Amino acid sequence: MRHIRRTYREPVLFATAGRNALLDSVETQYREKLSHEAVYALAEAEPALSANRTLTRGQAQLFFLFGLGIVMAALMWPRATLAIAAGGLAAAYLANILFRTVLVWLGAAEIFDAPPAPAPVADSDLPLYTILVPLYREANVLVSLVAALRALDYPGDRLDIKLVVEADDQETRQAIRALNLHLDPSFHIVVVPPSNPRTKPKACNYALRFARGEFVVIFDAEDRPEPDQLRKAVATFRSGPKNVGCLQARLNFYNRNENWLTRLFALDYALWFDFLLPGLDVLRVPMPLGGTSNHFRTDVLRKIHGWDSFNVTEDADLGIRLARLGHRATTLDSTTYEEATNRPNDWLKQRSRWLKGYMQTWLVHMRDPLALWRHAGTRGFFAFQLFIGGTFVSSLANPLMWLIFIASHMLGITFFSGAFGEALARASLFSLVAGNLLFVYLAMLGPYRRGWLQLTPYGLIAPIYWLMISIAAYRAVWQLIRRPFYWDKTRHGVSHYKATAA
Amino acid sequence: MTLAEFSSLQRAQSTLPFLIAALALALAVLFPLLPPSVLLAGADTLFVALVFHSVLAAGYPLLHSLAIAALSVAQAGIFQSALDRAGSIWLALAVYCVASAAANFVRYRDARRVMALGAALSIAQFLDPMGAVLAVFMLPVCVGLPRPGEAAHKAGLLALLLFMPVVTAIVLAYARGVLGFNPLRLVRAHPLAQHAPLYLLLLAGFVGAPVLWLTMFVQAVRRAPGLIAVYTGLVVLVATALADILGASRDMACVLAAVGAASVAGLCAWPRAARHANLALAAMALAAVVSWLLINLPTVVA
Repeated sequence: MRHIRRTYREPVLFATAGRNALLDSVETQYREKLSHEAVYALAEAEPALSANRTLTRGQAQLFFLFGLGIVMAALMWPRATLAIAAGGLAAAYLANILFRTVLVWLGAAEIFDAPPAPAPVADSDLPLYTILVPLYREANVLVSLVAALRALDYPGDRLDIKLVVEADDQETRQAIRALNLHLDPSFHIVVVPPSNPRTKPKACNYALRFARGEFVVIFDAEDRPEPDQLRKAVATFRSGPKNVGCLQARLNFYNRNENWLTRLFALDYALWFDFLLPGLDVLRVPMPLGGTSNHFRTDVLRKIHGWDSFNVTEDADLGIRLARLGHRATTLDSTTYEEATNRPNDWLKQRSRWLKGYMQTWLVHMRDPLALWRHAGTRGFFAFQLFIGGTFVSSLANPLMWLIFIASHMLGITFFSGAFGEALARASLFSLVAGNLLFVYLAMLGPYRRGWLQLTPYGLIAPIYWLMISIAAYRAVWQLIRRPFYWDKTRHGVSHYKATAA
Repeated sequence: MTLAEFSSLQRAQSTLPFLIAALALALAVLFPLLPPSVLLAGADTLFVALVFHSVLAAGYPLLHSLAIAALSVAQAGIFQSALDRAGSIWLALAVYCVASAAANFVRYRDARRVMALGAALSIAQFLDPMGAVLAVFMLPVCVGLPRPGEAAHKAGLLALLLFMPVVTAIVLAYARGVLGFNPLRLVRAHPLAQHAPLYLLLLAGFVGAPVLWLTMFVQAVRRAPGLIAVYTGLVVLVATALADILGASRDMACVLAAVGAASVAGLCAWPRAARHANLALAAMALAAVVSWLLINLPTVVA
């Protein structure tokens, strides 16, 4: 008190206030500064790792020269250029799917091969845990969200739940007020002042400034985490190596049986979170995080300047950045159930955003390939190319491969001539067939770990799903050029299925 | 054994799967270019390496594992292949892959074993026509009978397990029918060798499998994964008998090689392997001796 009196000199008045009221007061006082930091902290501290510029000048020049070279080659040697381009596409296509197969094999190790689960942590040793829930126009799912958060098996006095709302989202703010959450000390409402870009990572960065927990996790509004997820995360953090900065829980859908699209989406997610990410974990290479249920050590997250506000898959980027800065992301054996988009148009928007984000992430980390190689190691570098680059390249290549196949094998149009061309045509056909068969097989295998084998036959129509992904990839390229930071918001609460953590 | 020796052994053991995979890949890629004798030597080496790795992984002591691997290749059916007199090693490899993958699947039932079983049933079709028969008869047994309410679940599992073998069958049919290319001709060093009457083939199948008898009837080592290996041997015998009746006869070496391969898979499925190491070794030695007696039977009978 003496210090305060000495510092401010004025007559100082004292009043009692709750913790959240104090935080709100700090927020009001420093709103502008905090808002600026939420957007620009990474861009100012590590400009080379921020997506606030889509292309650097060097990258733009390189792409221009590459494009020019292809156009000139196509004009001078059209058949040879086409043959080489087709061969390159076929190789990239097959390499991506073969790498995924290897990851599935590595990630498929079950309890017999995997290390034992860590011992649970006693209640008295559980730390304060911050839960960030960014909300934007989510009034319709708020009641079930709060119920899911209250259902978490974690002492209420060690929870620091932050509902993060945009200042102009009156509908959600009104719904929060109606629930009287200010009476529950576990909950704290963080209002994000308006600024561009209007993205989820910016909101999370803003709220991170107020996080009090030793660990912090992100949940989406429609998420239903398994009740023991926080306890499992604490046990895994405590028993694992100190360089583990993040745990990624598994994601899947409670409305998976709603229609053909949600079933295929569930296969896709099951493959991704139950096999591919654990496979990356086994290989000890950079892991792109999934949009929600990422548990972090708060100090590590702050040290690396939080999320990139300009990247529309800030989670994927963060996983790579963690690895580059010497931290590990690993998987957590606990599931969060979400709502799958159940309409093709909504799905397309969401997938386009993800693929655009993957393109942003690839471009950011390939600004200095040698630095990436140095930071991620040789294995990590190639895994990054195959998993991040390969994801959108194979999606873009897929329809081209089909076009070549239909034109040359069904319509009889001759693209390739001579022995070299013939060999490339065969290689291209092999890649297409083998790639699609493997894609189907992996999709069928996806639900195995969860025992959802009734979904397995839907894997047989996975090539249609892959073509949908390709449409999303081309849409993503267009968006990357026109509106790189635009966040195509996914609508939640439209499913007829009741949200449950099962 | 010192700790240093132990760790170097562990390192060697962890490297073995990669060496096996490299050898298998080399054989798969280079098989049209290699002379039959080199191909057979490669196949024999692959078989011994697979057996040694599996036996060691099953928990048998090092010396026992080495002896069992040596005895497995000393079986008449497989040894003859090494001497470039029969192509039975390919059937042995096919049977071993399937029996071992099926036993592991029944034991662990995880996704990795699903992939391994599918791959084994596909590879088996490239190695021997018996591979397709094995796929047809193995899968329903592995999946098991569905209980009420499980039909969709079991159908999904069957679809998953069938996918790879069915695709392989289609690829092989396309290769033979449209492209006029039959990979089976390339892996078979010799056409079917000396003919033996059906009753001798069946006798060889039953008498030449002491390990499988033990797996089936000795309480201490009888478990579901081992019984799958016994079942694999039985499928081969029944298929051989049916093929013989239809005029496509197999030779004695093939039957003995197949039963020998299934025996090793059965042995690897024994519980508490280290405790039964001597019994396993004795049974394998007996099988080797019996196989040499049996292989000469057609000549004696003639």
